[in-house]
Amino acid sequence: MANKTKESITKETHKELLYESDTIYIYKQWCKGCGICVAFCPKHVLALGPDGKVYIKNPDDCIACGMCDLRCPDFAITGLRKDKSGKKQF
Amino acid sequence: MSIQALKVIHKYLRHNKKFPHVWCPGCGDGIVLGSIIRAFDQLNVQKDDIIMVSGIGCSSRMPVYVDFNTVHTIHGRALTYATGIKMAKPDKKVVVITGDGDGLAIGGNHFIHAARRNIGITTIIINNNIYGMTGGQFSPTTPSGKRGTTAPYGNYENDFNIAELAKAAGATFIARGTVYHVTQLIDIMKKAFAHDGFAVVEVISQCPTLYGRLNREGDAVKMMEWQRDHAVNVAAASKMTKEQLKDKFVIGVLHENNDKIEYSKKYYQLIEQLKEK
Amino acid sequence: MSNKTRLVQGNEACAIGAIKAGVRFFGGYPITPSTEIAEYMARELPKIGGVFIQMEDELASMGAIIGASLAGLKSMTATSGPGFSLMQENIGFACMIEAPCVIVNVMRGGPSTGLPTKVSQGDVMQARWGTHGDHEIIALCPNSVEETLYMTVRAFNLAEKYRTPVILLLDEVLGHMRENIVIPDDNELEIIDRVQPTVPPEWYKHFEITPTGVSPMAELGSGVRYHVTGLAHDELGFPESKPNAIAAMLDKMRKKIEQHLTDIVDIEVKYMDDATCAIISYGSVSRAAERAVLMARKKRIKAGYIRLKTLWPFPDNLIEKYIKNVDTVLVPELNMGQIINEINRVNKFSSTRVYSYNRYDGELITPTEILNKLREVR
Repeated sequence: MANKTKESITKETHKELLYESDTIYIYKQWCKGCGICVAFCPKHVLALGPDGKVYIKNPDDCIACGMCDLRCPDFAITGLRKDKSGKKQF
Repeated sequence: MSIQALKVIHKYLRHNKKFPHVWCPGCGDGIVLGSIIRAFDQLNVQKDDIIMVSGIGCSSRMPVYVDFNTVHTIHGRALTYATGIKMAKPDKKVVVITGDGDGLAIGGNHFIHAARRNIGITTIIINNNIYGMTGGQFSPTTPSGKRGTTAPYGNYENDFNIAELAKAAGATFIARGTVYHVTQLIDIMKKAFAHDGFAVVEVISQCPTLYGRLNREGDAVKMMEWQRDHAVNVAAASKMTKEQLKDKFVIGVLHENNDKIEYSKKYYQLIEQLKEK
Repeated sequence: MSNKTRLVQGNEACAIGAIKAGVRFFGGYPITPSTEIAEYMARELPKIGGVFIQMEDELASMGAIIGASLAGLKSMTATSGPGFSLMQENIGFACMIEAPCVIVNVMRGGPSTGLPTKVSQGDVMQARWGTHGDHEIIALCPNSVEETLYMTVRAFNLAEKYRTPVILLLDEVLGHMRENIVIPDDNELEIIDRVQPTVPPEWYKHFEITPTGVSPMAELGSGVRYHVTGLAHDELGFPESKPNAIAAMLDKMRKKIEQHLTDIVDIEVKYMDDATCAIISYGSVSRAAERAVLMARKKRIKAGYIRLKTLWPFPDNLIEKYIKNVDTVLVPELNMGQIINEINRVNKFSSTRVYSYNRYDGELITPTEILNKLREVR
């Protein structure tokens, strides 16, 4: 384990990390790893992965508030936004 | 099929321009761009009817990324081109994107006069209290005592209050928002774009790379938490004492006056009158 | 048919010419001795649906006229020395984004505040190099009230044809003097408009590199969306960082003017067929110079008259052609010697000697002064 380079570790773990769910889509090429979406998610759905970019840690906890989408400076995360009537906006 | 395909933002970006954009990780400028796009989308304004003008600075790099009519001009003078454009095409929505340095230092004079004329331009001043593009010098809105690369012992100068300056100069719509309070920001933008007259929207934003580092304010998240903890809504502020408001700033629509006629409208009325003679 | 002869002031003739050329936007700031142009525009433009706006300073004036030009209107401003200095950054911007506009500079005594109500020709070099960086510029110089009217029309035509700012250099004497002129009918004048794009909006390139160097120009808000920037840019107007693309764009802007010199440069030549000496002049001084040539001829001195109507680009080939055959060239100027440097540059002929005669005290050079100097150096 100790011999493996940082790059090979991230290549392996990447396969297990989730970048798309029913309510969230992450466009990794544009993510700069600023952490804003992670910090301000009210349900702690997101986290930063080993490569510094965001991934969906707890997809089932998402309440479709859409704040990650609105607050991402790089348009790298799309989050569904359900309004009061239950309708979906993007 | 992903929700990505339905993201409204992509309808408005220039996909022949290189992305991710040039701004630092955590910079608030991208959040402002997203809010502008969503505001125009919700107002149903056509892309052809929007003309976005900017000066020089980090915030002024915005127009190239969005598929409107975009003009990236010289330092501090964006409002002057916008004035010429609005007078030539009074039916279009003219938006100026500027920063605290570009708009209030070198551009201060043009800001005052555009407000005085009450010309139908919406000026969005992204205030990150620093000159970002040139490496972190202090600006007219850097608070006293804070550091910049040209204020190594702390800023000895006083700072502006943008809203009061705009009001004194004659702006007829003044609002302040932050990139943390993004839903409110979109709402403010919508009201500003719909206003017929000179509208000023000050957006409190963060520069984590320079201001944040030089002043040990932390990363983007910490700076946005600061915005969350120090902003008070206009309605709540009216009930608070001066003591309670000491370290806070007020957000929301601060001033609105719909009685003053918009400049280009007034001039075109003159043209009509002269025609009838 | 009514008698169309009128006593017209130089500044007024400029404004009349501009309106005939199709100007519909004037953004300016008052400065002696150009203010009459702004005042005329303030009265007349709204009557024909045009826009006059008095901006807060000269930088704002240039900004407003560039904005209006991008939005499709023919636009102009008018100023004098101190204001012209303030406009330099924006003139460079107009060159870089290839925005047509006309800047009238009614030259007065300088430097600095200088002599607001007195004449000079002190801004000739500034018109060429006032703004930073490598750029081409067109500067025209009339010498009579009538020519001011026609040359203003020409200034707009060149601006539209080559998508460039054009500087019209008047001086305080020309701007304020009055002469009888016949105001032409609209249909007597050739008016040129900018080239419109002919391709679908998705294919439009605002800075397209074409064989002539001139790119078609769509107006803002017309259904063709594009980006414009003062940064070094590519054909689409996006910022460019690759060295060969940067050079290609700057070359295109240079060739745009360089390849069309025969269309742009213009001089007036009289009495040169048998001349042994020549007087090269421009602007108000040329009126005295022409009189000096006639006085010289009466004294059986074979003097010739060359007048520069285009100061920039400098008419290299035409000047070379004429000074080759004379042994003396006299260049009277109302400055310490500015255009003479260009004449010296093109003078490759060891048999031709070039002399200057300068006044920079706010007074006009008289024909006698020029004749006396000619007799002294010939």
